[in-house]
Amino acid sequence: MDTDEVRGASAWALQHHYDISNDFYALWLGPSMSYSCALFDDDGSDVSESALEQAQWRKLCCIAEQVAVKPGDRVLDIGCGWGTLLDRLVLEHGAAHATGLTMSEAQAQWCVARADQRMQVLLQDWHDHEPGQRYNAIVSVEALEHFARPGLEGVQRQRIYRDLFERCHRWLEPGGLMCIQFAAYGNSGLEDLDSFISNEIFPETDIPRLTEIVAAIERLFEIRLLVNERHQYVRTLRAWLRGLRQHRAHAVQYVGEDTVSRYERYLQLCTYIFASGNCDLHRITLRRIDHLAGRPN
Amino acid sequence: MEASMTRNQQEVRQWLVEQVAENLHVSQQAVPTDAPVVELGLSSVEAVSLTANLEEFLGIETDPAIVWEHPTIDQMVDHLCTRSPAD
Repeated sequence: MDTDEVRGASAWALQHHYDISNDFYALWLGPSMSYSCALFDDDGSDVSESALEQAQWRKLCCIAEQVAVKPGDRVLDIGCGWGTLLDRLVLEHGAAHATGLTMSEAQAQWCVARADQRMQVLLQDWHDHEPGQRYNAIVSVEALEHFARPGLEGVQRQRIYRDLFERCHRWLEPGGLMCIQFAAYGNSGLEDLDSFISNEIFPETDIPRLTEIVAAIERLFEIRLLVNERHQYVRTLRAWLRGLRQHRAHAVQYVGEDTVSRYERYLQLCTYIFASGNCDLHRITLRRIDHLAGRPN
Repeated sequence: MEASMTRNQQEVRQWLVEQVAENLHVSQQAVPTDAPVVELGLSSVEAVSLTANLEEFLGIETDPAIVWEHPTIDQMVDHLCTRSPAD
């Protein structure tokens, strides 16, 4: 590790959140185990478990289509969670090799327990990833939020994001596609958001601004599509909160009353900040630029 | 909101005025019921705490974004009491 290298949330910080209990997350994330903004196909208000499940599959399908995964492809998922998207890329889209990176031991164990040979989940920070071969596509769904930590200066944050996209550029085949989904500051800054989330829910985590990401991809990737789906996140969060409350007794058995109360407050607060536009939810599809400064690379 | 509640409009309005005044450290007379509470200075975390307390007061589930989607006390009261048999 480069001694000047600045990193975001540590393994401890990530495990503080994601390693609480797989059973606990399964109660309110539902069978998809997809811990990111879903994609509902209407403007309705149905937040039932079945509506959420359908919307999560729709989101995963959308991301797979955005990066045009086809049979035989090699795909990387940076921050693969419980591996649902990896599954889909292999089983539905025929990816020959789907590699997932996570810093959560609980998630890695969950993935390894049911992975088929085409899936490989590494307990690894993206800074340390060294693929033997290039990928055809890269996806990253709500992991980017953890790549900078509170207290970093703008230039340090910029260095992290630039480093990420330089690596992704090197790891992708010419013309390769990338899809990133992430929560970002909207009409707010760190000082506007309650410290409860950064202290008790996501330690060592400071989300990006859209402009930081756009600056970090300059002359590496071109933007094919950029959407803000914050209203979809409001509905997703309502569905999660409903699920948690519906299964509250079980949740308390798994993680205790204090943690359940903390998660209720966290989901309520996030519902508000996405509804109010304090935070946005971006999905960006990128295409690798293959000719830097007029020369092929 | 899935269940009906038993408080009437006046009780809900008075309770909201008290809560907002307490949060903003101002007198109840200084809280207009027709102004967006966020513009009066209520932060996001205070708005969400208000929702949690509201659930306890009314005995019904309340959406965390109610303060944003029904920004004034009058609008919140209308929204909350629409299905109330007490009104």
